[in-house]
Amino acid sequence: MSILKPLKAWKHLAKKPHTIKYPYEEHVDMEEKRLPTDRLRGFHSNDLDKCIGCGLCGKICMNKAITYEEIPELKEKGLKGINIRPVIDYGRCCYCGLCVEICPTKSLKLTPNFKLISSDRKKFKFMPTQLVTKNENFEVDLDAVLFNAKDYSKKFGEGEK
Amino acid sequence: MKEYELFIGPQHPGITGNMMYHLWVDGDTVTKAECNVGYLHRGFEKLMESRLWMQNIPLVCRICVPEPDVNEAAYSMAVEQLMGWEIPDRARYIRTIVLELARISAYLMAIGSYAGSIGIYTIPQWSMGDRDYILDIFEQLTGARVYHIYIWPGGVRWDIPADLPHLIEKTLNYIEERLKLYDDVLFENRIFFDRAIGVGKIPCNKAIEWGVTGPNLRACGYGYDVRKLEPYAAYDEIDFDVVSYPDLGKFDAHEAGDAYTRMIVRRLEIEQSIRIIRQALKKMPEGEHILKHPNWLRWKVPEGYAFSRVESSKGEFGYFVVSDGGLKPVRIHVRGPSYTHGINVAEKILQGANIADVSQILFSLDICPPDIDR
Amino acid sequence: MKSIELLGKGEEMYGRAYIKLNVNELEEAIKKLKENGFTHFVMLSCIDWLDKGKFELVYHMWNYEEKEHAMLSIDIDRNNAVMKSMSHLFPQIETYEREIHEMYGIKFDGNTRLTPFLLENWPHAPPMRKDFNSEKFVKQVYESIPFIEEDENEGI
Repeated sequence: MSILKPLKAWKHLAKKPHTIKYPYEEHVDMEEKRLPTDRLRGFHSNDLDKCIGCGLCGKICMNKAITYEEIPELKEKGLKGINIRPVIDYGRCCYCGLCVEICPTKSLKLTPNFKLISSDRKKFKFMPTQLVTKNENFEVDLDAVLFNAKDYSKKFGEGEK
Repeated sequence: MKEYELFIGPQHPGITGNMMYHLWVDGDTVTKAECNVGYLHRGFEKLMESRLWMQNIPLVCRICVPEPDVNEAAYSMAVEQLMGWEIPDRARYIRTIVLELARISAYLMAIGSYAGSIGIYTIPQWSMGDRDYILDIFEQLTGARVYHIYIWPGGVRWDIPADLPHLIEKTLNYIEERLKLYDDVLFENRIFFDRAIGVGKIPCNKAIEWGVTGPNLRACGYGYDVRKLEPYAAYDEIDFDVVSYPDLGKFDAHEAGDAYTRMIVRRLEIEQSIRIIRQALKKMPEGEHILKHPNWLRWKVPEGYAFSRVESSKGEFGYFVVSDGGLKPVRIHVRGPSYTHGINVAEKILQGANIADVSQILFSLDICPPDIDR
Repeated sequence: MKSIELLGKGEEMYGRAYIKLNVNELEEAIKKLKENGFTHFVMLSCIDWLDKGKFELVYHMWNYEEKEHAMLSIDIDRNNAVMKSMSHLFPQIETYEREIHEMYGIKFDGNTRLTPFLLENWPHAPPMRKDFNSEKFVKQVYESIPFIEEDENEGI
């Protein structure tokens, strides 16, 4: 028991604080590795050619965040399978990843992108595509997703990938 | 003297969460206390009856926020009992590491909140900052910082990445260095001795009858720990001590069952957790990390009544799972440790206490309202 | 197992002792187990079997010396749900009975503190019963399950 020992805390005035001035400094862990890693459960990406429209991801989602929309161009492309693809409502999604584990063709994946800033509520319900990949700043690129079934021919039309 | 009624309400820095204590006060002394909960009731048990067995796991981890892995582990153990599954060895060791890291982060939060209640505000700032390094480990291992959804029936979800054991070792060394600073500022401080010795005593011969479990029971002199009584995960193959009054290491033992002893028990158990994690990392066997699951949409669990218990940083967590052979559970009942501590024990101890000590007594019992309300 | 020997009946289920009793045998059984090492009362659960027409109350007790967990189970009638209170044996049973009274509607004679515990100003049926459908309740009381309104002309 001592009354002078607590004064040792004053030496922290001269030390560097462990607060990170985000976003001017990067978020790193104790071994200077950039976080978040690829395992972070963020927004989805879906390969529209591999996906077969089976509907299992919508059945396992307990928050009913996944609904389906038909894309007519996929039938003309000659792909086997049904031409509906998942549309995810990110106000309901809890980012658990059960839909990724149950997908039979492994086309649905979770990317480490976690930032999406918008003042329009409708921007948070979209169809993820294979153009959503890991971003430098971990932001979701809203040009890589589909808000409307008619956008498919614009983004995946003839001669364009 | 006139008697006053005081409401220490649901929004107050002097209580451990969202609950209300209704006090009758005569001068400076409390004559009667009543607890009022229900501000955090989200209806978990009714929700769990309308979901499939696998869909319950993202829901179960939200019952206790400072330490969510305990709930996932208890639910998985109850389902494994009903199915008759034995999980692989590598999964048992990984579960041990995850549960002990969650325990260290919950103890850091408890010590920090207690120090804030007696006026030493340096410690909560330090302990919440140190807890962040443990959350960095969880982010690389499980994919999320707080709600892990990692411990599944049959094992764990993913395997450990190759560079993680080195980071865990570095974090444990850092926490050991910081514990010396915590001793200087809090545990050997004159203020802590004057305020905490003899305050909030639980009568030791009635502790078990009142339903006290966890570090609070070990501070009354009983050396009971679920990890030794009914070992789960890999605890039967790892060497560690159970800390109880009066063997308090390098600290002097004063009275049994008061606030001082309870906080010293929590401080010493952090060292035991660090010891467990180091042994588990050395002894980790090779092998699979999960058993093969059946189809989740058609998974029927055989009928029966199962009970599983887990030692959390607050006490004993229990899960009672009833199944009738169907796709969804019939009844899941969660027993939180704060159910007995926060209501019956606190109402009896607060009689005769000073108003200034009410906050300190509640923080030293480590009451967490989410597991009362569910 | 010790509890099965002391009470003379019961079976082992997944490592625990599951003992089925009559309503009038319960108080003697709990007292006998309490004097023989079962000093920790874990919890009191209630299961609603709608098609069998009964409530099942399960009293869990734990023995620290023998490391044994005993589940004492009794059945009461669903339409006339009344039971004698055991709160004079262990003090925490009073809180468990309070919660079961609020969530299932079972009356416990002898418990003086059956006041609202988790719900406030709740005039409807006890919510944890199996015939209480949550979705229908939300539609009745709040007149709609809130869904995000869609514009027919735009948006997916």
